[in-house]
Amino acid sequence: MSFPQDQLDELGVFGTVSVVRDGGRDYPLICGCAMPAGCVPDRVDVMLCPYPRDGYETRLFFAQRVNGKKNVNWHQRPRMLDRNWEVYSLKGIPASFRLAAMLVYHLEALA
Amino acid sequence: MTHLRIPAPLLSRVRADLRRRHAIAWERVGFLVCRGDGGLLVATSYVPLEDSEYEESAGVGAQYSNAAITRMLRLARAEQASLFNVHDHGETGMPAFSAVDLHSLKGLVPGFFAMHPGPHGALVLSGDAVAGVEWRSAVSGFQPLDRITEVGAPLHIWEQRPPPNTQADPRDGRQGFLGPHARERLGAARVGLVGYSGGGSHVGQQLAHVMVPRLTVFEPQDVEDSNLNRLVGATHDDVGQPKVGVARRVLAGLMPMDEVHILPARWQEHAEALRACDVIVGCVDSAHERDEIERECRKWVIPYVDIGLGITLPAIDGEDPLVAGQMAVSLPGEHCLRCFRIITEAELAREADDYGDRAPAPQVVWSNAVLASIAVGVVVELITGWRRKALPHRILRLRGDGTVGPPEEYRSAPLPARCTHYQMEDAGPAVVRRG
Repeated sequence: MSFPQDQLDELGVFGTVSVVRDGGRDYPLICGCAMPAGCVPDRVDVMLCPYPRDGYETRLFFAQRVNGKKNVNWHQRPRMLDRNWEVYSLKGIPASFRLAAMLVYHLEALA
Repeated sequence: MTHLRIPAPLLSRVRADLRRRHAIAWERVGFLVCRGDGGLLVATSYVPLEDSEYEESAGVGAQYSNAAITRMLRLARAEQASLFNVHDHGETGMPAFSAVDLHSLKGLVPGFFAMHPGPHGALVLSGDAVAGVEWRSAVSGFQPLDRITEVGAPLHIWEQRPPPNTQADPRDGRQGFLGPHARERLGAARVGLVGYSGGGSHVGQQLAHVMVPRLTVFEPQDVEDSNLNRLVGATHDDVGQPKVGVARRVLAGLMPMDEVHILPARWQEHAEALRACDVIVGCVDSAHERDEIERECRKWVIPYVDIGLGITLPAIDGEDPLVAGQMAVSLPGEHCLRCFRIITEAELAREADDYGDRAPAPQVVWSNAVLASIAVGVVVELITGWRRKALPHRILRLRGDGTVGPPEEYRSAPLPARCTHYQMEDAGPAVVRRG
């Protein structure tokens, strides 16, 4: 699956966007993605999985754990794109959202 | 050190193509597209030369046109992949490149580096073996590939360095039926064991009895009191200590430890150690864990042997608990755990919903032992190929009545004709498609 250019451009507001193919699927990778205000660190590499994975409609994977205003349930450390990620449990962000909206809703859990 | 893995279905396709007669060429040529990282290459597809790309020549078995070479150069760039020229010498036994082969390859292969940083190289096939050479740069000259594996049932491993520990052992006599070369084959393969607890402790112990000297164990947890009902080899003194301590003690009592790697960590922290394994046995508790292992195995063309046990407590008083499980083999190019319906979206969603709220799952030593023993039998069969028809069943179920056999539900709801979840073309490392 390739993503519409306008949706990738929208992601560019958050950080440097590339598309990485792994296991036959494409994933948007946002390097130095801006975290919500008050998060530490304030920028982290994230990878958006806009497909069902591990029982979730969509997921957002972080290069490292982020301390936000709200506590989240960091519960898995999966390996994708040949690197290890941190991920919190968050359901209900559908794959029908635009990529940027998907990202925002996932990040909102930290805000 | 470069190791090339080729899925058996792909190699069969290559052999079938190369053995077709050609109107003017004595032999055919094709190219394997390979992707890799850190000394490991996996073959993902095969591109044969077109009939029209051969030219008449009295001096070589296959002379091909500049247009063919240009097409392959474009292929290396488009696929961002290593290319390996392949031809077939027929017959059986270890094949070797002729002087004419090597002379031709020296004129061809270095040119691929203009398109992709390689390595690139060539393979020569016989009916039952593969030899290969690689170039690591345009000016490096060629050297033999350190290791080539045909990944199927059974595995075939051709390796430059001799396998460890092949001296005679008193236990060989009792395992003589595995074949005259069983010790070498068991010595050549590295088996990875993910999880050394209820199932994995049986698997590890049995692999040591069989003498699989290249073993990698991944287990991050410590022994708890509650593990003592099923963690084979553990004692009360081990409580609070790493489970890998039990593994080390059990394995060291049965075989040399020179090539045993015991890692007190999750496999993800040592992913390079996992992908160096020729077979992985997974003894994990959840669908998402086995899903993640299988993805990594498919990515790096590794057979995955999975065991899983479930004990369901009765919802109604007076009924018996149900003790059931399965052993499944997921081979590249064949059905996967999703095809077998061992991993389902419903089960993954249930795990996601239940996370953190579930009581510890019931487990018992004897049912784990049954499934682990079946898995060890499968691993030995995969490596030694001691039966003419290897692995008649890719999945065996431990049923609630204590019997073991192929799943009966596939009669009414058959498996798909072929796996649609993993494609061989998708193997290999992640690739940045758009920066």
